[in-house]
Amino acid sequence: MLETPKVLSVSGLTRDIKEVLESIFETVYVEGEISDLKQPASGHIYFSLKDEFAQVKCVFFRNSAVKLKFALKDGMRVVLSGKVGVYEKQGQYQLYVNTVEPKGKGALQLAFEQLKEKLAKEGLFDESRKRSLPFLPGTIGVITSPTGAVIQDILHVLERRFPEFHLIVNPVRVQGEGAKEEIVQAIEEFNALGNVDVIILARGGGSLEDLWCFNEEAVGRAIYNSKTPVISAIGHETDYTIADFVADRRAPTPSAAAEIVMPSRHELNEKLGNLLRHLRQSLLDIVPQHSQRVDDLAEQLARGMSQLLKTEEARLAGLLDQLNALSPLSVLKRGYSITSLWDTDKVISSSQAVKKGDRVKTRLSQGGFVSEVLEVEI
Amino acid sequence: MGFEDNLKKLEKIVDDLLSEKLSLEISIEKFEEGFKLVDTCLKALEGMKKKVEIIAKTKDGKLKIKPF
Repeated sequence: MLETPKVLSVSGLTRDIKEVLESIFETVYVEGEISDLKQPASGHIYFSLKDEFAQVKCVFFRNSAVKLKFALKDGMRVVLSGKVGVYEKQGQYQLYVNTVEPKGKGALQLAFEQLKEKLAKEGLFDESRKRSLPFLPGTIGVITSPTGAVIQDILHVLERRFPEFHLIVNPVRVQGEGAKEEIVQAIEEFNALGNVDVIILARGGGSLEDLWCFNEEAVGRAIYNSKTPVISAIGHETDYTIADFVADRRAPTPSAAAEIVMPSRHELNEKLGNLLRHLRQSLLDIVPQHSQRVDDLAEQLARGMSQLLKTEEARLAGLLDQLNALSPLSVLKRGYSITSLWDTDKVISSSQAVKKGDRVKTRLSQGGFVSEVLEVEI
Repeated sequence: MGFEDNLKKLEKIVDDLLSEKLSLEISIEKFEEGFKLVDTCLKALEGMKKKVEIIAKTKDGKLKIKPF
């Protein structure tokens, strides 16, 4: 007698397969290439992971996908971690992705490169938009951890370089959860305060993970949007973060930022001293420089004077001629004479001024004579 | 005007004066202006004082500046 085969329902079979698969493949690591990538607005990410001979559907739910630092792309080689699951409705097995690591380089490194490229394209790193730093800032804003070596290093350098400085610390976490948000807020707060002339964003050395908040897009954009110029001073000399690329000036270390932000008081005093010395010297130079000028002017004046005198002489001669013409002497030359009383020399112009017997003097063009009035005619 | 602007102006005046091409009147004008700028710069430096502060946030989210 033939045994009647056990008949399963589709659901039953699928459920059995699901149980087997999900218990065996609870945590798997798979390497492959991303293809058919879909990222709908829901935030879930769908793609296929394939190699030369096979492919498997992958689902990256939003709550895992938001932790991804870099952007997935078709053709990207990755290593996934996740579990195998069965989507009963379509009789399909798929990978529920937990994490994705790029093959060959770290996820953070890739995320950094991707963001750097994106922001560079947008012009956030352009040299042309970088603002110049104030020469002598009245107030320096420092965004960093209030504890630890960094703020102390900055204070020490400033005390040595320019002891009369005004500095405000805006304390923030510089790594881990919440650091990004606090840094963005601190930049905005310094801008809102209004009296801060320059901002230093500083952190000591650390791993790429430690420095990660300075590679966050939000921090880069906050620096870009800051009206107050920003100096970045993150990690050691060899560390470059997104913040460094956007900042108006990158200082290799926090101490270097302090050197950049304030001029040396000593050098400034020397400079002012030199300028004052030059100014004094120029005053001393003015006199000999211009005494030459004065000599020249005097010579010109003298030349002018003699010219003037010559002109005056000619004019004088002309006047003398005119005067000569009017002189009574020239009238006498024509035969006229002048008669005056002998005793008073008073010129006689009327016969009534004399009487018989008066002595009168007559002046001629050449010489004269004295005579007595014999008779008066009226 | 800022300290740097004053300093730059002063440097320019000294350059002009040393170039020896100015009239006596302008030289003296520039010289007087230069002395005033030196004075302004020195006064600005003398007016600076060391102050180190820290921002503290009050419970209602307002910023308070305290000595560090």
